[in-house]
Amino acid sequence: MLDQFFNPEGIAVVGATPREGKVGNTLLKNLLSFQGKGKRIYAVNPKYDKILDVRCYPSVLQIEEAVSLAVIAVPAAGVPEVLEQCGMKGIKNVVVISAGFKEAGRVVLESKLIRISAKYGLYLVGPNCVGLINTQSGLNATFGNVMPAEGNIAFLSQSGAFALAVIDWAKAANVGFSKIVSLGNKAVLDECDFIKYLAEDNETEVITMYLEDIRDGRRFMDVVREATRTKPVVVMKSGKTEAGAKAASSHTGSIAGSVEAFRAAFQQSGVVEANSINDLFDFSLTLSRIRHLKGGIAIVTNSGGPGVMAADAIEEYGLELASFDSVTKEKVRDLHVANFYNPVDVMGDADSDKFGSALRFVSADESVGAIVAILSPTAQINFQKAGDYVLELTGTKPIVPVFMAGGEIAKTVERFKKEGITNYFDPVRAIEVLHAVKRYSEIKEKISAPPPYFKIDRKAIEKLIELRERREGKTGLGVDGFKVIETYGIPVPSYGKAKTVAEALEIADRIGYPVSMKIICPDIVHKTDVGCVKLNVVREEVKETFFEILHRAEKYTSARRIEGVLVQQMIEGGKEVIVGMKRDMHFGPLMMFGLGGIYVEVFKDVSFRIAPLSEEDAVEMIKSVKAYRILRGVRGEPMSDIDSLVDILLRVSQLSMDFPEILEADLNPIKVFEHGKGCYAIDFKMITGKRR
Amino acid sequence: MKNLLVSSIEEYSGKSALIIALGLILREKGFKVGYFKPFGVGTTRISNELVDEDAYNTASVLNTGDNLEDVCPVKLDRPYVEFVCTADPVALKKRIIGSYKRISETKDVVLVEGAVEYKVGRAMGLSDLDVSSTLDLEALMVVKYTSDFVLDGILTARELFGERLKFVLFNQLAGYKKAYVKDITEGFLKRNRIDMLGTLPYDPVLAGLFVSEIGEALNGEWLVKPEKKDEIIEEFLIGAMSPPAALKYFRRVRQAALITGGDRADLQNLALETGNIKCLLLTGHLEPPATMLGKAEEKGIPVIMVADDTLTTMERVDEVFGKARIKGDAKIRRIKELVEHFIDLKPLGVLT
Repeated sequence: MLDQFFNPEGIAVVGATPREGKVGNTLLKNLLSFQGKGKRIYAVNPKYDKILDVRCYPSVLQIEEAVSLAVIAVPAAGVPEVLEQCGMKGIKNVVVISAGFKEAGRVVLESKLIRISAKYGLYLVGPNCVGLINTQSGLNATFGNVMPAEGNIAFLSQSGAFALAVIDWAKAANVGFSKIVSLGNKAVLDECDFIKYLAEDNETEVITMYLEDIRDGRRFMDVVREATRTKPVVVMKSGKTEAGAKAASSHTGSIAGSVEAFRAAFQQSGVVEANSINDLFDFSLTLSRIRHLKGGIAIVTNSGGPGVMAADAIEEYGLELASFDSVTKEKVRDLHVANFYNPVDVMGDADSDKFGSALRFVSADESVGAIVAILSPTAQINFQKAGDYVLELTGTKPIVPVFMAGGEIAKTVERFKKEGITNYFDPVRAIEVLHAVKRYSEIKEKISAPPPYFKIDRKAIEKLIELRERREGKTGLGVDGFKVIETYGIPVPSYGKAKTVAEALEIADRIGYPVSMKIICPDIVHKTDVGCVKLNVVREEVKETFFEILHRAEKYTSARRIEGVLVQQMIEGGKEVIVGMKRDMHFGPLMMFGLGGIYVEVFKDVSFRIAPLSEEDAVEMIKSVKAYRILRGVRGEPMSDIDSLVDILLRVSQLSMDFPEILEADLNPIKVFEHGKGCYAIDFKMITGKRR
Repeated sequence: MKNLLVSSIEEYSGKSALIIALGLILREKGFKVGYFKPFGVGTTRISNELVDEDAYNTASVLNTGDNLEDVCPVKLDRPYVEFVCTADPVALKKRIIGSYKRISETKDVVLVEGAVEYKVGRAMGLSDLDVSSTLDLEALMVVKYTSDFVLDGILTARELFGERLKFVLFNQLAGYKKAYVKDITEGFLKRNRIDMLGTLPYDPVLAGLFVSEIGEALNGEWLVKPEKKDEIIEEFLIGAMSPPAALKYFRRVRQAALITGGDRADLQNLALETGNIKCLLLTGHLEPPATMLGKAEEKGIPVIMVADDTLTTMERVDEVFGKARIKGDAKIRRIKELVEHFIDLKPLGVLT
C-alpha cells in the first residue's frame, strides 16, 4: 500500500489555492508537472471552481474518479474533517503537510488524526511535514520548489526543514535520490514502515535517515536487521548527548533514550551510524556503489605526505593496509617508484600514465579490497587522464579518488559524479568512508544464532515480585533478589537475612566462618562508603559487627528503612566484574558488562548490548572491554572462567526478557575465578515496577 | 466498651487517623460512636466560624451529628501565653464537662482526642493528663516509633497518667525493629501493666498529599489542572540530573511529584512517560514548552508552575508533608484497613 505514495494515479491537493507563495499553491504547481500519462491531479477548496486551470472541488467527496493519494494543507483544526472525508471517499494514502499538532502542544488534535486513520485504515504521513518525492516517476508532493536528480539513495527525514535543505543542496551538488520522505510528527507511519518498503524498492540502493527519536526501538531493530541483508541503512540520530536531548525534548517533545542504548541498538541491528551531515551523505554515496570490502586497502599516491595521512587513518579505524603479492611488487618496482610497498608512492615527477599503471597493477592484486588514489597537482599530472584510469579500473576494484586540487579538477570531479563516484580532498575522509563500507560488509556477513533458552521456574519469581509490589508497595527486590538470581541458575554464596543478633549468629553458624555482613536498606546504595559492609567476620565478632552496621546505617537513614543485616558466606579471591541491565525507554533491556567492584564508576570500562543476547553478543561484550586483557590473565596469571561469565550474561538477558517488571538489575560484584572454577554473584541491586 | 482517650507522646503521631478508623469500625459493629476533642489548638476559620481544623475534619468524616461547639468546646483563639494568663481554668473545665456530657449521653462509645501531645494544656488543666482524670477516661497512647528512646517516653507518661494509661499502639514501626516488638511487649510493657494493641506500619498513602493540597500549599499556577482524579502524592523528586540518570529515580517511586525547572523539558517529558510521576511542579516561573503541556493534558497529569526555585519549593513541600489530614475516600479506606489488619481491639473491651 505504501507504493501508492510514490506511484499514485489520482492525487487530490486539499487546501489548494491560487495565491502565489502559499503552500497549497506550490504543492499544486509541483504536482501539475506530474500530470498526464494516466496521472490525474485534483484541487480541493470550497472557495474556488478552478485553480491554475485545474478543476477545483469543494471536498474530496465530490471527485467522481478514484483518488489514491490526498495531500492535505489546510489549517490544523480542519484536518480531522478532511481526513474523515478521505476515509469516506476510500482514499487510503494521505500526506498531512499542515502543522499545529503535537509539535505545538496540541496532542489531543493529533490523537484525533490517529483515531480517524485507524477507523478507515488510512496510511498517513505527517502531520507537520514537507511531503514526499519520487524522482523516478517525477512525483514532487512537497512545497519545496526544487526537484532533485534521480539517484539510488532514499532519504527519510524527521525534520522537514532539513529535508528541504538537503533537496536544495543535492540539486547543486548533483547528488541524486530515488525517494525522499519527510516524516513529520510520525503520527501513523514512521521510519520503520518506510524502511520496510524501501528495503524492497528496486530503485533504492541505500536507505539514509535523519532521526530525532525512535518510537518503537525494538521494531526499529527488527526492521533494520531485515533491511541490511539487502542494502545499507545509514542513520544520523540527533539528541544523543545531554544538551542535544534537552534541545530535542523541547523541540519535538521526544524523550531521550540513553546514548549507550542507541549505540548498542544501531550496532546490533546493523545501522551504519553517521555523526554529521557530511558523514550521512558521504557514507551513503560511497555505499551506493561500494558494498563490500574484502581484503586490504591499497594507497597509490604521487605525494608522500597525504599517503602517510591515509595510512595513519587506516590503522586508527582498524582497517587493513593491503600487503601486495610478489608479482604486484615486482611490477610496481619496475615503474621506478619511491616505494613499491603499500602505500605506493609514484613520486612527484610521475605523470598520469605512470600513476595509472600503478593503479592497474595494484587493482589486479587479490589481496587488495579497495584503492585510495591520491593525487596532488604537479606539472606532470593531467587530472583528466588520471580520471580516465580511475573510471576504467573502478569496475575491477572499488577506487576512492582523492584528487587534491581546486578548479583544475572540476571537470574530472563532474565526470566522477556522473558515475556515482565522489572525490575527496582529504585522504582521511576517504578512509572514513571505506570504514563505513567495512562496517556494512561485516554486518552483512554476521550470522547470529538465536539466544539460548534456559528452563526456569518462573512461577516462583512471579509470586515473589507480586508479593513485594502489592503487599509491601516496594519497588526494590531486597534480599529476595538472591532468590531470583538463584532461580535463574546463577551461583550465589550462602546467605541469610538477620533482624536480630540471635538470628545473625544462627545464620553465620549455619554458613560457617568467616562470613561477610552488610546492611539491607534500599536507601544505602553504596554500602561500603558508609561502613555498612564488614568482611571476614569470625564468630566472636558477629554480635559487635551486627550492632556496628546498624548503628552506622541509622546515622545515615531512618531505622524504619533498614530491613536488617545480610549474613553471607565469604568468597575469597577472584576478579570482580559487573553485569547489569537497565530498561531503556526505546529499546527495552540494555545489558551492560564491565570491570566491577567499587571502581566501576571511575573507569567506566563497560560494554552494552540490547537483550536478548545471542552467545556471540555475550562474548563480544566481554571482549570489547579493556579489562578483557585482565580476564585473559596478565603476567602469568591463569585465564578467568570467561565461559561462566557468558553464561551469566545470557541468563540475566533471559531474566530481563522474561520479567518486564524488573526495570533494573545490577550484579556487582561478580567474582570470577580461573578457567573451570566458575563465578559467584556476591551482591546485586534489583528494581521492579509496574508491567508496562 | 468504655469511652477512650486517644493521646500521644509527640505531635503528628496519628491520633486522628486512628480515631477515624476506630470510629468507622465500631460503627460497623453496631455501636453508636461519639467524637470529642476537649482542647483544640490548631484553629482556623471556616466560613467565618472558628474551628479546630483537626476536630473539624475528623467530625466531618465520622459525621456523629453533634454540635461542633460541643465536639471541640475549648479552642485556642489567641496566643497560648495570653490564654494561660487570662482564661479561667474553672470555667473551661465546666465547659468541657458539659459538652462531654451532652455528647456521651446518646452514645455507646465516645472517642476522645487529646491535644497535640499529652502535656499540652497542662498550665490550664486542659492536658490529656487532666482530661483523663476529669472525665475518668482510660488512655490509649499512640506512639510514633521515631527511635528506641520512645520507650522512655512511654514510661514517663505511665508515671504521670498512672493506672489510667492502659494501652499502647506503635505507629510507623517498620524495618528490622519489628523483630523486637514481641520483646518490647513481653519484657517492657507487661512489666508496666500496659497492653499492646499492635503496630501500624508506615504507610505512604496516608502520609501522602493530594495534588490539590500541594497546589494550595505552594500557591502555584495550574498549567494543567487535575481533571480526572485528585491523585495522592507519596514522594517528591527533585529533577536536576540528566534523563538517563533521572530514569533510575523515576522508576523507584510509585506516586510521586517531580520538582524541576520549567526549562527542563527533557526531564518533564521523561516523567510523563514513566507512569510513576503523577504531578509536575515547575519552578522558577519558567514556562515549559507547549509540546510537553499538550502531552501532560492528554495523559491527565497535572502541571503546577511556581515562582520559587527548586530548593525553596522542596522546603515548602517538606513543611506540609507528613502532616496531611485523613480525608478523601482512599485515605479513609486505607487507615481502616490497616487498623483492622494490624490492631487487636479485644483489650479495648470490644467484642470481636
